[in-house]
Amino acid sequence: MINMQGGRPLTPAVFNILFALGGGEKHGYEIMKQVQRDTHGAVKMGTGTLYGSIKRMLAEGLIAEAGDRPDPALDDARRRYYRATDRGQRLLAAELQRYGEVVSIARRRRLMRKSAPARAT
Amino acid sequence: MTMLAMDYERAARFYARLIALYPKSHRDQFGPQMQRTFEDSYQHATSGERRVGIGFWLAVLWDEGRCIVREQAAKPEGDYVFFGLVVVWVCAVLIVPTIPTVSDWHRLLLPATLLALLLLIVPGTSGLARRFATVVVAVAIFEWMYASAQSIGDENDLLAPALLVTALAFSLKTLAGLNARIVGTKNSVWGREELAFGLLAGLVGVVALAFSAVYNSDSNPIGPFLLNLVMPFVCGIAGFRISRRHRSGRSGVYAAFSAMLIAVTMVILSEPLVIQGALLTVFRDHPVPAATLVPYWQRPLSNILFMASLFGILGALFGQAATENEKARRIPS
Repeated sequence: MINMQGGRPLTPAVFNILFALGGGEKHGYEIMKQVQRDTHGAVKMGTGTLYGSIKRMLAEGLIAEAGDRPDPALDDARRRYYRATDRGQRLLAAELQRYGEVVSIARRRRLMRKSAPARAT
Repeated sequence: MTMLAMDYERAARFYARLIALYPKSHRDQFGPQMQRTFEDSYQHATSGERRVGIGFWLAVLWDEGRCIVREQAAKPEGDYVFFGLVVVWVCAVLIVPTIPTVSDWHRLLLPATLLALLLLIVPGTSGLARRFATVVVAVAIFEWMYASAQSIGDENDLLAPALLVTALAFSLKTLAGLNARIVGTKNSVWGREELAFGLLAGLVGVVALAFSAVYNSDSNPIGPFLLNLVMPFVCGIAGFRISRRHRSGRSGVYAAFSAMLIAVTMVILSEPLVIQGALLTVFRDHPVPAATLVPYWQRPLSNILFMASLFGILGALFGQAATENEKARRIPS
């Protein structure tokens, strides 16, 4: 169950999918690849996990199926494209803000190592 | 066809079978997308003439296994309650005929009333109409099965379980079909073709029954031939056709069994009418031979069930093999 009420953190799968859709609408495999790129390969989302999360996110109104479809001659008709809804974008922004606050607290408490190498995207 | 293309086909087929394990609603909404996404992943993993390793498949199985269990568990609670009750009823049906003190059907009134109350008041999402219909069908079949089990002679020990299992499977399917109809979902429990072939096989069985009632099987083997070969063969055709249409051996086996259930139920229900009718028509001016008065339930019903199962499974497997061959011919190498 996704907890979006009361400012609770999003689950990792929901956060990653919303984050991947931040760059525009995508179909399932594109989302999987984007999540893998965004996490530098640390998160490899399986097909079952992806569509289980999509199902719940659709029900919660965080994402929606994109209205415009590519030409069927150019794309597989089985593919569906998804986009983040306004609600999804708001929750993603709130989650990112929460992450930012956590990072600033960690810096103030000197919990973050300065020597941590920056990873290339 | 190249080796990689064959691997791809095999992988896609295997994944389609995994998708079939999801609840129907999930499959209908996401099945084709999931299949496409898996195919993309597989193509990516095998790009550059590479072949996927065991790690790929372990990751797929782990992910799908978890998700299938989660989606199955997330079904509406009402369905669980409903099918839980059906299981209670199944257990009751299996136990009651074995109780020696229950010699009179009137004594079943109390358990039947309790069952009805249970089905009506239990919490869940089922509506009153669905519950009421369930009660009526459940109690009717309960009584019928009890009567059938009581009618079986001691010398035919194997027939009682065969008859009960058949009746049970039939009633479960009927309940599920009725349930689907009442809640307004598509009733895919009894397919048209299953029904048609089941009725045809049942008709063959009824004709065979009439032959068996009138003629001795030594002098005229038409009755046993129809019962033991033609009737199961018709069920096998149902399996063959459905497995070809759905491209699934499992669907074919289900269809063959469903046709068999309809056919055997028809034969069982029509037995008293057919035998008495046939005997009265043929022997109305002569004394009735004693041997022909053996009731149908004391005949080897288990033979029909066994043969119909065999024909059904074979038909479904042949149907699937034929479809696979056709598909393989269509896919360019």
